[in-house]
Amino acid sequence: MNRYIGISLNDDYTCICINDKTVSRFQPTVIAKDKNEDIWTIGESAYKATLSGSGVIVDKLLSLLEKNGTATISRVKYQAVDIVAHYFHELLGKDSNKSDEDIVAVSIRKPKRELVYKLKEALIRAGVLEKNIFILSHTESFAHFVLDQDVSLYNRTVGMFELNNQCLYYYEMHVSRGTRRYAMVASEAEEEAFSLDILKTTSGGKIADKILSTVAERVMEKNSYSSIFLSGRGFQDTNFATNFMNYICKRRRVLIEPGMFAIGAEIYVKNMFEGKNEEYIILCDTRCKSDVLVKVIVNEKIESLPIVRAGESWIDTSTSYEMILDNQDYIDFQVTPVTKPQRPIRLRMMLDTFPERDNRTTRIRMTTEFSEADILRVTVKDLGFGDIYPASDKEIVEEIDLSNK
Amino acid sequence: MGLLLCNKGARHPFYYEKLDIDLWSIQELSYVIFRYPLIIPEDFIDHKLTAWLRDELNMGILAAKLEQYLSASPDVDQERLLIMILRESNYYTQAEISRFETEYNKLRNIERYAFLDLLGDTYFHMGRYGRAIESYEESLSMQVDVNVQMKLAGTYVTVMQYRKAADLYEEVFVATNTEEPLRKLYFINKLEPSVKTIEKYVDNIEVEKLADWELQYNNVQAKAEHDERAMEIYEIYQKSRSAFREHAKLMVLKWKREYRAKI
Repeated sequence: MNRYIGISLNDDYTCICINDKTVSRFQPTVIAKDKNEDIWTIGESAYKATLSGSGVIVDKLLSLLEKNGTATISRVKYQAVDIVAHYFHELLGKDSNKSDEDIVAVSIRKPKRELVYKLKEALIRAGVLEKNIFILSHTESFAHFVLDQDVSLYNRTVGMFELNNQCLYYYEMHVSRGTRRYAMVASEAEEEAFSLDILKTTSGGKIADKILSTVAERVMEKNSYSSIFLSGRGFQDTNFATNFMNYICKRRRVLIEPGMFAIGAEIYVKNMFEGKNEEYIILCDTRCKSDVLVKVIVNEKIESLPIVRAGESWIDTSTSYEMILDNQDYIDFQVTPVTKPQRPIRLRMMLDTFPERDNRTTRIRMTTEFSEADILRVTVKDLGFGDIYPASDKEIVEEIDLSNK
Repeated sequence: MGLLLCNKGARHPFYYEKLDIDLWSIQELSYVIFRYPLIIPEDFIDHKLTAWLRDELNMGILAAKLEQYLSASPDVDQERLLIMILRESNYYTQAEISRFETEYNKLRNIERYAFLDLLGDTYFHMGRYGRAIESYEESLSMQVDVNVQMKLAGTYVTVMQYRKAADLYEEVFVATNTEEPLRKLYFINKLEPSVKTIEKYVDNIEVEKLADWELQYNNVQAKAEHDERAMEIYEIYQKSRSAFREHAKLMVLKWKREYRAKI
């Protein structure tokens, strides 16, 4: 039986959800290695091993991976990706479930391309097949989680507060049910983040409640919400936040799910592997927000060649096409934002620095990929025309900023 | 006008012997068929070509259709197969393909000597001067034609065989008594002073005409001196003699290679 696994990962805590969207568990994102043997322990067990003196602990694993850092344990230098691979190995309990095929989605706050590749490498080393690995953002996980709930919970704006140690985020989702159904999701960090340690005292709890109430009043203003979600370890117990809860519960439903990102990730992979199509195009920090196409000629007919489809993951979106210039020394890109379908934008990339040749004897290779979210890098290479007109190997590179379109 | 979408090119090329080039895509194949119909051999479309289309260009359907025709009859009509290739290439329009069809039919019905003359022209425009000379000579062996003689002489000049060129120009002059062969002989003498055929006729040429030819020659020479490639060599010479010597070695090698390719 396949295991559908959602993991929410940050430097402090990891939350994991396996096969059951009602159950998630938290554990510290730390790993310890035994000083004498090749035994690795994670979470609370890692702390215990360190306190007993038998293990050496490594923490802040995500930052270590992002910085491409190293850790030396018992005179052995480990690369960050090795350590994270051991961490995943222990987290997924790979040894005890050899017959299972794991489909894993990892949710992180900001999936930058390099970090995504390193996470994938670590998961592959931990024994997960490459085709079964997916990396998404917390924002996207939030969208999957909400869209899995009853429709009445997201028929208007949906808000969410995430509270973790030194981390306070507000998320918002709008659903459009027009000709193209889409869910637009965004998140922002709030400056008033605080340490969860203050919740250990009554006075600290009151301060936290005050902070949360102030933030809620500011971000929610007079918006009409169908529901508000609360997530993160800080909301495992809401008794400290009386005023905040009173404010957000006014005429709307409030749902608390501390492990929302892990569960959202699990829902994503499960739906995908069970063949359920996404009912809504999700527009968020890991998905493309516009359709991008190029007009080409096939058998004397003009056809649209899709370069980017709205709702696709920008990290996995890349294309490569070969074309011949027919009395044309440019490429026109048509960008259509999902939110403004009536206003497609035309962007022209000039190729007039390529060598002049007879008509239809310049073949080009156009490759596209996102350098970061919303920045589409287009590379066009002159291939000449075989041995008849040798290639100049000239390349033109341009970036299309899709964020403001 | 637009961008013609192509399949990925081949990983291994198809060697087209007549042109001595490697072809890497269906579009290049169509290009040589369309541009040089004269040099397409009768057995051009064979199983080697269809295997290349199928295995390298992933055009299994086209390959299967061609093979079907090839196996149906030993006297297969090649024109039909060529048209099939042109249609599948997404390179030429239907109007262009129809024009090609007409031209191709015309070519098949012309006299052999005229065909060889056109073949010579084709090779000349492709820069295959050795093959152009062979074609013109074969055409002349069947029927003498001053136009073909002039073209053959011009080809000799291109490959710097001035003596043979001068003999032909003289022959044309004797036969036609026109000015153009004399003008060519005058220039040959400028390019290669040891070829003095023009001296036999120079007394009968008007002084103004000679002055005009001299001016034409000087203009061309001046233009050549200011050619981009000449200027590049001159600049290297001005900068450093040793660099010039190194560059000269490479240039001479390149010119030799170019000359060999011409013949």
